[in-house]
Amino acid sequence: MKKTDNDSRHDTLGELWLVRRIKRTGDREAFGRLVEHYQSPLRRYLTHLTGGDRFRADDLAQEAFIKAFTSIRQFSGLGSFRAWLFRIAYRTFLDSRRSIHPTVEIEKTDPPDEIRTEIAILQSALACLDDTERNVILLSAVEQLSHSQIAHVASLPLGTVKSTLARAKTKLRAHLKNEEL
Amino acid sequence: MTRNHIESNDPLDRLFSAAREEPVADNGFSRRVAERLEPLPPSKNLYRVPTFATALASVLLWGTLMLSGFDFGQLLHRTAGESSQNREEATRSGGLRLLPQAWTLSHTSSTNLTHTQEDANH
Repeated sequence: MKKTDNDSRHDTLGELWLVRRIKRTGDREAFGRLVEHYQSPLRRYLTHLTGGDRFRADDLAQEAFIKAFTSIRQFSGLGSFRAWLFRIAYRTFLDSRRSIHPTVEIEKTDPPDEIRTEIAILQSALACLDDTERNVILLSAVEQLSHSQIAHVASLPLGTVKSTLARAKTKLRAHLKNEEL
Repeated sequence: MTRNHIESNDPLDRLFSAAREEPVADNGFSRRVAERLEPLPPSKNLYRVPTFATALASVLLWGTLMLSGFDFGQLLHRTAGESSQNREEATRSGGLRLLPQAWTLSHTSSTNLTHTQEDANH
């Protein structure tokens, strides 16, 4: 895996140091560095989770970052900050679904022109999954979180994560086969 | 190199790989988040500082007194001696006790009080 400059600068120790500093002094500039680092994966994750709705994903990501800042003292520092942040984002997404669309399934939105065909196909395939399956497969296959981290994010037992992952992959393969890909 | 970067003919893997490589430009997002951040209240840990400072000062005071050879026994003896002397003076002046015995007065103030009482009697 090629490491970008940003990745190399943002190592785990540096991240822990930033988190400790924010916890102690509420340093907003330090939190800004975490936002810069995590905005891309978090917005991408929420975009897929919302069925390609980038505007809604941005609103949710913004809300998730603000929640993360205000509750950063509840982060123990023992687990992964990335998993903790994704957990907040997922909960924010679920809350928004309950308040805005309590029963309606995710509407398929047409992906913008700049999005490549593969992304459009993936989003149409993801629409055949339920919320939990979509969340688990995205966290595993796109965001590359470990099974235990996914269990933490989705508040699921480890065994359920593994079985959900297998079921989601089977459903996606079946969908792609039907689409003759 | 992780397992996700191994070339695969699986269409599903290809789609996920494309999704991983999809860049999401910042476009002012980080700045907008930074503008919406409210200052955090001070950490609760800061409230512990005065408590620790008081405890530390107490320990240091005791330590200094012990090391300088301060005699606590003598202090107690002197205090007890003064209070018995006060009692004797009070008995001598007619047994009149103006204050409860538990309220320990210094030798001089007790004597002055007795004199004042005697003056009033004359």
